[in-house]
Amino acid sequence: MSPVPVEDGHRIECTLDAMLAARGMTLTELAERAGVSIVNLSVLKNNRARAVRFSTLTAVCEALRCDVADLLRMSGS
Amino acid sequence: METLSKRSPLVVVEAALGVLGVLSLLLALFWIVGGNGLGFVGGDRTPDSFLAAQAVPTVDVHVRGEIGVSTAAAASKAMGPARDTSNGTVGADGSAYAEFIGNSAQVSFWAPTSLQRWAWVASHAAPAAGMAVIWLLLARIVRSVRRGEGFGKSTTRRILIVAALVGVGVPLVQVSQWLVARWLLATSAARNVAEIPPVKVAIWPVAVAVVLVVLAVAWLEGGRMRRELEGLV
Repeated sequence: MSPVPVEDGHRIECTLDAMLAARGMTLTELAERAGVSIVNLSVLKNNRARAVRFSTLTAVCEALRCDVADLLRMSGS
Repeated sequence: METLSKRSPLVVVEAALGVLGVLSLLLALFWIVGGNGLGFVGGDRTPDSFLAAQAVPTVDVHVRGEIGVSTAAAASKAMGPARDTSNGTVGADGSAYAEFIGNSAQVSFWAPTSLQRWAWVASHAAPAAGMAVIWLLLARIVRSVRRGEGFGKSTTRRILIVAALVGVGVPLVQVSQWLVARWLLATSAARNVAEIPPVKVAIWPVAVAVVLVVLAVAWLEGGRMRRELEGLV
């Protein structure tokens, strides 16, 4: 995955795309399991999110059985 | 962003505001084409005209001196003498006591100059024109809300324009109508008998304008917060 350009003053990159691929899970399935809307998950997956609620992070991480650090990383690091 | 359906009640509100705007615009236009303006509609400038725009310029005045209060004095006399009873003062027939006061009258100007007629038309068409702008601005605000763009800067700008129209426009119209009335009286045969009462500039438009400015500032802050929340998941 190419580094996300610095936008809105941050370099946080979401690895949701890779996490889903690794688990063979679709966005729809994740939305159902996590109880988060597909629209919001799509925004997160495509790195268009500018802020993430703790509740969203908790739900997604629980559904993917991963840690927050697995989901987010600093771009270019 | 999800916008409200075209069948939303806001569509009806927007349409109603648009209709009010057009009607107000027509009313303002009627003053211009009416008897005191271009004279295209109803050249008869009689005080009893059904449409005010066609009426001969008429203003409220105070009649000077004893003659000014003669009508009130005569009316009081016509009521009959008051009587003092154990229950207080009552009218001649025992009903509640009343008294006619004041020196008010109305003066119609049948031969204003062309400039005076247009000044009269302008000062009376302005409120309707201002209302038309306000209705149409409100319609645009409702449209923005309906499209999910209600918290844009354009909405704040429109609220501020409405505030200016109310807070500055209304007092300006009141003063201009007063000045035109003074001018008409000063050049008429009634100038030595009557005078225009002091101008009454209402405070409420300024209060409404302040409220609208506060709302506009709150709206601006809401817009900033809304933009901050964009991208929050």
